[in-house]
Amino acid sequence: MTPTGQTHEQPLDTLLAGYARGMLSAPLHTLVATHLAIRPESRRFVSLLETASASEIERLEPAPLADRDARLAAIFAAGEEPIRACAPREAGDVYMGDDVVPYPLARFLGASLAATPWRTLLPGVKEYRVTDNEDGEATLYWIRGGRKIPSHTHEGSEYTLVLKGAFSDIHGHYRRGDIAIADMDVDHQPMADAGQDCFCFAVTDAPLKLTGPIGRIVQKIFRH
Amino acid sequence: MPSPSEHEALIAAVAQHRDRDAFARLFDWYAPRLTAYLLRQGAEQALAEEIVQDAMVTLWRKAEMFDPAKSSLTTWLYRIARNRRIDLMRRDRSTPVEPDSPLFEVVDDTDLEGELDASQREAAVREAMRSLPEEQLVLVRLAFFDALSHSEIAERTGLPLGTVKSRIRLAFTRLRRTLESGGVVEAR
Repeated sequence: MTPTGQTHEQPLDTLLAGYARGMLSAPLHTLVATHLAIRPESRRFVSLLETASASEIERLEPAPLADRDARLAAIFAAGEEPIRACAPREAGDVYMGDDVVPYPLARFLGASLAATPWRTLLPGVKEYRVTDNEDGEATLYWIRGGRKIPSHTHEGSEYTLVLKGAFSDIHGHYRRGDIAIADMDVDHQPMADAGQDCFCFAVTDAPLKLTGPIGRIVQKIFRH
Repeated sequence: MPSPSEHEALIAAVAQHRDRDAFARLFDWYAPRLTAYLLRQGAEQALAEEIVQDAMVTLWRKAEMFDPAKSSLTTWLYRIARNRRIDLMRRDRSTPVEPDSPLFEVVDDTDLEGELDASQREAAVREAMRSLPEEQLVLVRLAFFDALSHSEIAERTGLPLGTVKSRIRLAFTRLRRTLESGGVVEAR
C-alpha cells in the first residue's frame, strides 16, 4: 500500500491494538506479550488502549449472576489450598524463561531453546513447529549466521519476532525484540546476520507456502 | 459507580487480611459487569462464567499484586480476563494453564509519566481518536470497539479488504503518534 500524507502505516501499531483488545490467537498474543516484555516502549501505547477498552466494563449493564453464594464459597475454598496444589508439577520443573526467552514465551513453549527438539530444515536452518492448527502456525527458527530461511509466501500474514541475533529481509533489519511483519504475497527470504546465530519465534495466521526451487522441495519433503 | 478509592480500600483489605466481606463487595460489582463484557464480545455463557470465576480467584489470591499506582482495578481485571479467555480458547491445550499463574506479571503497566489516572488515559485515547479523519475513525471504531475482523468490516462497509486494512493501519499509526506527541506515550 502506498502511504498517504506523511504518516507511514506501521503494521506493528495495529497488531498492538489487536493485542490490547484481546483479538489475537493464542500464539500471536504470546508473540506480542513477548515483544512487550523485551520492549517496554511499546507498552505505553498498549496500556492506554487497554484502559480505554476496560472502561467499557464500567458502563455496561451488569449481567445476572447465577449461584452467587456458591461461586463465592468456591473462591474462598480455593484460597485455603496452598498455591502449589493448583500446579501439577513441582515449581522447579516449570520453565519460567531466561535471558533469551521472556516469561510469556516460556509459558507457551514449556521448555528452553536448549531443550527444544530441533529438526534440520536445511543446512544451517533448524526449526521446531510449536503448534499447527486453525489458530495458525507457531514455529521456532534457529538460523546460523549468514544463512537464509527458504523463500516463501503466506496465505495470511507472518509475524517474526527476533529473540537473539538479527536478520534482514527486503523490508529491513531486525534485532532482538523487533517484529517483522510479512503480508500475504510478500515473497521474502530472511537472512541471519553473519557471525552470530539468530533465534526467532514466527507465527502465521494461515499456513505458509514455500516458494522457489528449494522451498518447493522442502515443502514436499516436510509438509506432506 | 463506587469511587476508585473505595475499590482500592476494599482490595487493600483483601490483600492484607483476606477480608471476605470486602471481597464479596468487589465480586458483586465486577463479576456481573465482566460477564456482561465477555458476553458482548461474543463469548458463550458458560465460557464467560468460567473466565470471570478464574479472574475472581486471581483477585482473591493475588490481591497484593495489584498496584493502584500502575493501573485501575478495572484495567487490571480486564487484562486478567482477556488473557484467561485466550488461554481457554487455545486449541492446543498441551501446556498446563493454572488460574493463578502469574499472568499479569507480564502485562502489568509500566509507570506512566505524569501519573495519569484511568479516566485521563481514557480521555487521551478518545481525544486522539477524534483527531482521526472520519474515514479512518469509522473503521477504527468497528475494528477496536466492536472487535470486528477486517473481512467483517469489508463486508459491512462494502470497501475492498485492502482498503480496510490500509486505512486501519494508517489510523492506528496516527493514533500512536498523536498520543506520543501529546506527551502521553513515550516517543519511540
